[in-house]
Amino acid sequence: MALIELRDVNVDFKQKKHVIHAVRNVSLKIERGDIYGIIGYSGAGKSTLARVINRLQKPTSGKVSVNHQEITHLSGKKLRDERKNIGIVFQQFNLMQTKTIAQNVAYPLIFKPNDQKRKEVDRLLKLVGLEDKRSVYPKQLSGGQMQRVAIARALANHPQILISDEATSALDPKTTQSILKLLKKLNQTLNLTIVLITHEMDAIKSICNKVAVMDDGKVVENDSLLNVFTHPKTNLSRSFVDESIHLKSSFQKVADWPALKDKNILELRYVGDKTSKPIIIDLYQKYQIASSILFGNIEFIQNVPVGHLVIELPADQASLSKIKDYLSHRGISFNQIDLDQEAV
Amino acid sequence: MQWYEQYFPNASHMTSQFVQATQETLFMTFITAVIAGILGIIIGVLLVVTGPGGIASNRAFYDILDKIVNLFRSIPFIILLAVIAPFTRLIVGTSIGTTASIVPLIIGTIPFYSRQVQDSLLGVDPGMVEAAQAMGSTKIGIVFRVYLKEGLPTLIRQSVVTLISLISLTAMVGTVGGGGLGNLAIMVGYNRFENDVTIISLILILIIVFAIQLIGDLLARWAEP
Repeated sequence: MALIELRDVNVDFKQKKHVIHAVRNVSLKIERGDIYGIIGYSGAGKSTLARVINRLQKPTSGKVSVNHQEITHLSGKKLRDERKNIGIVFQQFNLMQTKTIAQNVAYPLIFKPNDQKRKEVDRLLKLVGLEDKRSVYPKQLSGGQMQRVAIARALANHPQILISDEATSALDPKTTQSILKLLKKLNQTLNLTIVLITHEMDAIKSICNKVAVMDDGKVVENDSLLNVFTHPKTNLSRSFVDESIHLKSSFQKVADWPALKDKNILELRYVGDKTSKPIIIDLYQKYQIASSILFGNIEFIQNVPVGHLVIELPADQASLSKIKDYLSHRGISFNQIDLDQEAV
Repeated sequence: MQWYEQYFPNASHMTSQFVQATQETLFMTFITAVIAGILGIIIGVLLVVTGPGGIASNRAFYDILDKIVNLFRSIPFIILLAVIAPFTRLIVGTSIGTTASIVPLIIGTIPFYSRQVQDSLLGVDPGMVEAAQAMGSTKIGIVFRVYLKEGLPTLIRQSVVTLISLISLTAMVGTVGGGGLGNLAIMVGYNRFENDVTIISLILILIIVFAIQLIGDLLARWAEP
């Protein structure tokens, strides 16, 4: 059984005149050791969904179980104990401003004896690489450092699960990568299950093994990262993937180029060892079709190479159908692009 | 000291009365501050935790408490003095004198201070509260370790404001038999046209206010990271 299981979860917020359905009929299974990404634009309901997992938010209906235990209706001490098993880090870090770094990390350890507390704080700060910041205040740290402190604090209760709620969204790209690397390390060394909430495909792409795509409170797609990346089933997933490989922006750049008017443009997506075979040369040798590359990109998703190639071809239909046959035969998925539309 | 006797002919012969009046003012202020302070913090905390989005949100309780606080805040202090006189007599046995004046002072200060406490605590970033909840903190733990700890610098500054307005109130109760520097300034200084007594009373009150302001600033700076 999965470590975290959500069944038909709904969360409604009652406003004065109307009801907002923040989460609609979401069912998800997150296995132990997963780094499970939940991606969506703001307002998609992903943060609310994350809060359902640690029961900061009670679902309106549906069931939530963590570690074989149903937590939907827990309250009081049982709920607090359950929350200790689930750490969470936030976009705004939420560190206590009047406490030093060591005191912040020690916050959950209030009932431990002092020497044990000190040892734990030392261990946690070492884990996130901030041993030398014990006695400074959060204000004196950079965003990335504050997030590391927040991670150390979230781990103080020895949780099995860590929820990262847009934890890297306020950070610059380089710091984002270093935080993601830290999360990956914690996932591997502590067997920590991580739920990564974000609106950035780049973050998901770097460390997640599974991903759920959310839109308007619903999970519209959930699968392994590789499948979503290579065969996105919904337009929303596709646009997240395209954004992360900068496909869209490159279309926008070439859209007004007169030389491309009335040409056929194909977008090819290919996975694994297919990336190493020379497609362009093949096309020329077999069919004498000269194509030129407009855009190319290779990503490594879970150590599997995933290629994207956009090529321009002669306009005649005969050669186009030949090429399509060839690509289907090679197992490469393709997509004919209408630049005028893509550039919008 | 010749100039003192020259410019303050009446006040210069009333040193012991000034000492006593100052003591009375400080006594009223101190006792009221302690009692109204504790009750005000309790009510302020209750307003925050039971209020909308609070950690123990309770609409009915909050609405009632909120209305009561508003009601008492709306009563002009000088009328409050008169209205609660029977109640004062019930508690301290008399409705005149320094000790008796502490009752209306407390009742007049609590609603004002509760709001100050509420404002200070509402200034605490809700994210910190959420983080504490997520770490499994109890409600009591969140009140003491997050709200009161993180809100402390603001709370101290707001308390100074309350203390200073409390000193104004002690001056007011002075006029209806409460004693203290207010009593001296009005009953002796104003009514007997001994203006120098009023001036000296005022100077003493200002010294107390400045001292409170200074200590408050130091405390607030100490509480800030």
